[in-house]
Amino acid sequence: MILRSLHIDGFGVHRDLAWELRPGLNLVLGPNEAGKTTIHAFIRGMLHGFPDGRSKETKHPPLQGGSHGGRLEVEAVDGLVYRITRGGPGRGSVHVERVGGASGGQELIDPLLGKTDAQLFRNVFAFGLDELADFGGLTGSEMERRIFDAALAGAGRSVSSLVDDLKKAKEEELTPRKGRLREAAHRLEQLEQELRSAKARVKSYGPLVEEELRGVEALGEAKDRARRARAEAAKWEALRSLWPVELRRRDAIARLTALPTAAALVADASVAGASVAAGALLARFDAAAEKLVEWEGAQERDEGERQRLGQEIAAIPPDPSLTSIAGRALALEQEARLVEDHRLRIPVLTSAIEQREAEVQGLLAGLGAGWDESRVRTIDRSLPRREAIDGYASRFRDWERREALASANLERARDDHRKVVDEIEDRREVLKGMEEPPTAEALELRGGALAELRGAREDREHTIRRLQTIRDQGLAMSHRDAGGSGGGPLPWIVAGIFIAAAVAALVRGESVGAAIAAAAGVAMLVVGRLARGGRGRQSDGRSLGSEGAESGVEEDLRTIEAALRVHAEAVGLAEEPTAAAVEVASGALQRDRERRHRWDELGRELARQERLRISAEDGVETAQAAAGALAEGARALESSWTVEIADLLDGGREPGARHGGKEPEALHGDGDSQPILRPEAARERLQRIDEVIEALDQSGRDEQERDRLVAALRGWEAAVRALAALAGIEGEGREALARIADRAAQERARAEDRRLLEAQLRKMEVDRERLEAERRRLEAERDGLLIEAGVSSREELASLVDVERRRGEALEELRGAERAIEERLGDGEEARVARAELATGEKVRWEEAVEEASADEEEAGAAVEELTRQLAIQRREREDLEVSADVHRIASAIEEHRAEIAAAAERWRMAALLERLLQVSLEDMRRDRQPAVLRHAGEAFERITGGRYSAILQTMEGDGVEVLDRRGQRLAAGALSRGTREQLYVCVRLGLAAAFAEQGTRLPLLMDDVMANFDPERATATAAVLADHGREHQLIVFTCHPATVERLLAAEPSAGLLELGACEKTALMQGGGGFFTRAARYGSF
Amino acid sequence: MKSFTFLHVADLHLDTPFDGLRALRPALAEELREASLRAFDRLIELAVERAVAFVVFAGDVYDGAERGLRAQLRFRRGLERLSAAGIDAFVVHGNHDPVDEGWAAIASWPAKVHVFGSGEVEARPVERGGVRIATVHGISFGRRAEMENLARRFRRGPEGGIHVGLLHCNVEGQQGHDPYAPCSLDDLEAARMDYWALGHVHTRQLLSRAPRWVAYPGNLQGRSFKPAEQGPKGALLIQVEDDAVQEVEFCPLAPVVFDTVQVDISALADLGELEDALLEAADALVQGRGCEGLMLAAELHGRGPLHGLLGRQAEALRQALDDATAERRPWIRWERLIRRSSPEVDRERLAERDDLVGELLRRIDGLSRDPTKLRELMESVDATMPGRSLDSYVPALEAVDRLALLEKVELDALDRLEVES
Repeated sequence: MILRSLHIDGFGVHRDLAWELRPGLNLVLGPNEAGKTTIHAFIRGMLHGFPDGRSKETKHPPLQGGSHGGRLEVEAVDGLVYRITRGGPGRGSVHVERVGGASGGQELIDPLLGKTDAQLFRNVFAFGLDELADFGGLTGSEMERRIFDAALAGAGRSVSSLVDDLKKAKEEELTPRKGRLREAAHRLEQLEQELRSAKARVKSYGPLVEEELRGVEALGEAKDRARRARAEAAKWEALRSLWPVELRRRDAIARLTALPTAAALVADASVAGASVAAGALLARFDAAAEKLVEWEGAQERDEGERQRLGQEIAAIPPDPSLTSIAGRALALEQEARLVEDHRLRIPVLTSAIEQREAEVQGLLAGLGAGWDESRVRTIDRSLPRREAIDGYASRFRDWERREALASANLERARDDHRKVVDEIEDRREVLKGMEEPPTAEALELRGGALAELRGAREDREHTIRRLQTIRDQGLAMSHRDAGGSGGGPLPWIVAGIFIAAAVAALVRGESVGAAIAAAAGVAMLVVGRLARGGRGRQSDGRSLGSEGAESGVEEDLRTIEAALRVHAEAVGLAEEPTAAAVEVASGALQRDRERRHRWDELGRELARQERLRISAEDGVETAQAAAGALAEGARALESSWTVEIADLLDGGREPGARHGGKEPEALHGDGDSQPILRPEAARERLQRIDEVIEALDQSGRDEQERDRLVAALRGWEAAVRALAALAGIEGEGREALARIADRAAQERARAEDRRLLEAQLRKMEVDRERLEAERRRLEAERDGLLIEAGVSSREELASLVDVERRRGEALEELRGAERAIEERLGDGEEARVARAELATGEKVRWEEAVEEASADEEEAGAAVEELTRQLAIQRREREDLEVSADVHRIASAIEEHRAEIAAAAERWRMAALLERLLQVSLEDMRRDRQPAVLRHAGEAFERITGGRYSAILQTMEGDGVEVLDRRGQRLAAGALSRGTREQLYVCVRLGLAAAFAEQGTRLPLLMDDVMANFDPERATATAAVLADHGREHQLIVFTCHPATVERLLAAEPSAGLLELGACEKTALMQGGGGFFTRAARYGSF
Repeated sequence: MKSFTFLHVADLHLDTPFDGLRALRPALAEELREASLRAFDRLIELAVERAVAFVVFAGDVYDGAERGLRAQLRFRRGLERLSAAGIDAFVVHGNHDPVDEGWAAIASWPAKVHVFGSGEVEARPVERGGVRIATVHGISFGRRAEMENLARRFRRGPEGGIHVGLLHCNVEGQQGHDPYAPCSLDDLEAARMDYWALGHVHTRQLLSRAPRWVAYPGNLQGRSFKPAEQGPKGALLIQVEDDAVQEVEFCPLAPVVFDTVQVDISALADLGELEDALLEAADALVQGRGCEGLMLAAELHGRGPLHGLLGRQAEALRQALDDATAERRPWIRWERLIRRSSPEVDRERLAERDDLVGELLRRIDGLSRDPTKLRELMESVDATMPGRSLDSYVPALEAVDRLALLEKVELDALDRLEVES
């Protein structure tokens, strides 16, 4: 495939750039930043797709405007030309057109590219200075590898270094002595050992539990021993510590023994209480004597006070008359305000009663004549009665509504009837004023005859023209009937129909219709004749001459004119009517048709109005019947209502209560002019009756109240008078009461003073009696105490108290000692033995026993402590085992390491497998491809180096390249100078492209300034090599060196050249145009 | 009793380590160590809370004949709690803890616990208020490799209440599990049990519904990223009414759940977006799991520019994800990042290329199609592995592994050869 032309719409710095390329060598000259690399990228993008948003490659957006992309025209090996138009990123936005053939997308390009995708294209067919840039930094062997790899895969990733990476990757995982896998395996071994130990520890759980049980048992025994020793020591220690107590006990017994026998008083008392009881007796004796002395003094003071009080009471005697009436006077006074109120209300009530009576009379009069209290009270005013009246009111309203409706219906029906009758009269008048037009059938026949007449006139004119033509040309021409009427039996059948119609019309007396029908029949016959004649002439025309034709047409004309006459007659025209006459006849016919239509319309309307009239008459009758039925129902309702309200009527007519305020016919259809009481008036009357009864009832209640108040007033006044008489006071009413009250108040004050004095006196009497009783009790107690103590005087009692105090002290001492001994020794058999031992008083022996038992206790305690410690250790060990997650932890770690080993093994295997696959692949490629590459490269290298090196060879190890000098010596590529190495590299890349071409992938080779470091001689030689390469393959060389262009043009004068101007960056940034010049020269093509 | 419930649990594998996990930070390692035991504790709590009539354990209570002490004591304590709550417990042993082998730290069991022996199928009643509500038939494995069809020994008796068959077995030769106590559904049907409480298969399965229910509850706590170990794990709660099983409800109990999220990298621009997508997928997965933590594997699919980046940054991404979710509750551990994505290239065109890349891919294609050749090649590669003494540690490759390895090698090769579109 070669490129034929390109056109950049907008791509990077380029816009509207067009270039036609040669099949061989093409040069692009431009200074730095002129956009050479951009053209390079454009060509690649046009073939394989522009980079999309996710690509790391430069996208070359159109900086100078225009649509992103452009066109590329390529020529396939088979000579077919493809036009590629691409306008966006990716492989999809492309349109490909094969000149003179199909169009499509990328799928049309891909076959042209062979098996070369974008990356492979870059690696093999795009070659730049940058690949040579780092040659200076490479060692000899690295250089050899670079060149070697280039011979295999172009500029892609170095396979040799990849193989090195894989080896390193393998070594990181595993070597004979180290590596992650080995380390993990080593740790795994350790962990497995740890796991075995951990599991063994777990297995010791059973023995541990048993050992712990034994430890618990031993500890129990040791504790028992210690407890026994402690008890023994405590026992002797108790005896030793109780010895002083025992001595105190013995002393108390001795003191008790020395005291005299206890008095009767204390003999029965408790030992502890004896002394206390004696002391208490003495104290009580002294207290009683003292209180007696106090009593005597008080007695004297109280006697004087009692006498004084008696005198004061005697000075204020009570007044019995006032005392008895004071309460009643107070009660009457309290009633006085109420009585006053009665006094005021009585005249008010009297007035109200009188007013109510007048009101009742007024209401009764309002009800009408014959109404009095007794009749009013007989009226049924219950709720059902009121509801019944309301029901009648509702029914009356309903009847009224229905009557109004029926009346309206009747009126409407009568009105409808009147209107219909009027309409009918109007229609009849109109018809009378109209002349009846011809019948529709006659008009139809006239219309047909008129149409035939027109047709016949046209036929005649046409026939005349024909006759004229025949005569003019002198030829006999066949012609067709201009009317186009059909032949055969049809005209006869139609004519028959018309003639039959004419006969029928004649029978009915319609002469015009008969004439028209007859004319139509004749016309049909004429037309049929003409048609048949035509056909006959057609057949005859072929045998007859022009004369025959002329005579035939003349005969036709005659026949037509005969028909014309018949038609004219049928429509009432002259034999040969003019066109105007025909049009006049047509207008008359149209008018007759309209008249006929109106006549028929009026007739149908009249019939319809007649039907409406009958219907209206029915409506009037129906409405009258409905109104009659309603009037009957109203009378029945009225009758029922009259019964319902009989008791409410007043014997005469009810003024203003007529039905609806007028005399409706429906309610008085029987001619009875007596009005009735309307339900609303009946309710009103009931309301009035309610008011009368309410007024009557209220008046009765007021009278009762007035009577009650009068009685109360009189009773109170009588009571006041009686009380004043009792108190001896003159006067009445509230004045007398006030006087009585004053007197009573004075008496109450005196009585209160007297009551207080008497109460005080009574209290003193009570106190005196209580003190007297106390005196007697104290004297008895004092004497009783002496008797109780068995003495006769206070001195004897005091002596007794002292003896008892001493006895009590000794007893207290004795009991305290015994309690201490008991508390220490307890009771039971052991206590008894201990007491016996205490009784021996062998203190020294006890002390020896204490020491011995303490030593035992200490020894046993130590054993307990040791056993407890051991048991705690065992228990902790067991509990640790129970909660230990060691096995799990180690097992988890083992799993982790196994996973790590598996991962490391997988990484090692992946690296090893890939290394193996690469090696095998490299081997195959080396075998299959490298010889051709090196052969082509060797030829070019020999020419470039002027025969100094004759060939390029694979190293003996097969992993590098060597060169063969003119003496036949092998020389490592790394040993060459930098420039020569670059030339070697260029040759290898040319050889690779050539090898691809040999295998069917022939694509343009793009080279970017590869000769920059070549000396002039070799540069010239290289130019010649490239020129030769260009004769076999399309080659596009990008350079910024005019000298390179000159050399290449010298080697290949027909090379195409695209010259680019410098690109101003500032202009670019500002988006200014014209920053690079168009090609000054587009080569020689 | 007209209605009651019971719990069916199997394959507890108490206190056993997880498979194939990388090194964990100490706190997480501690949580995982406790996971199987916590799952068991949750089971006991569930039984007490729901006041079930009884609990059946269908084998493999422990992971190995060397039953862990911690596991045994925890198991006993759990059964003691059940007994105290008046709940019967029935235990059979399976291939991992055969009743006649191994070490038992427990000499006696609580009153309401019955451990079935390996001699004959026993039938034990369950009574409530003096009425027999159920009969549990069971038999334990006496030895690990029990190859007898034990199901055929089961026969329903005339007793009232439902009849439950408790057995550790492989029904219909399920793949991925040893063919111990092999039996068919017909064998189970023939025994006329109302409910077969099975163990051994770690995937939860309801093999038959009413009237003859057959169920595997799966294991109580997943232990790895194997398909059978992933997803929620727990026990089955069986509802019985009028002497018939009405419904079987799954109750998730495992505190740690293994699972996989899948993300397509095709539309993602950078690692940040990928991280967001993975976190979003993980959030969706966490919802309603009822677990305390999630061990996650992330599988990345699709073709895009991220593929190449992942080759170099996968571990950094995994670490970033781990850091982002470690403190969450439930916590999430990003254990694996599995790159099943492809580079942004057209592989078919690559394979057609007339260069080393094309040559290599064509060679790989040839190996994929020829397992024998691949096996021979791998054997020859393995033969060059230094230190043959490590053979016992390095896992052998199965056919499936070899193909997977070849696939990875291809991706690696494309990465290393810097293949671009």
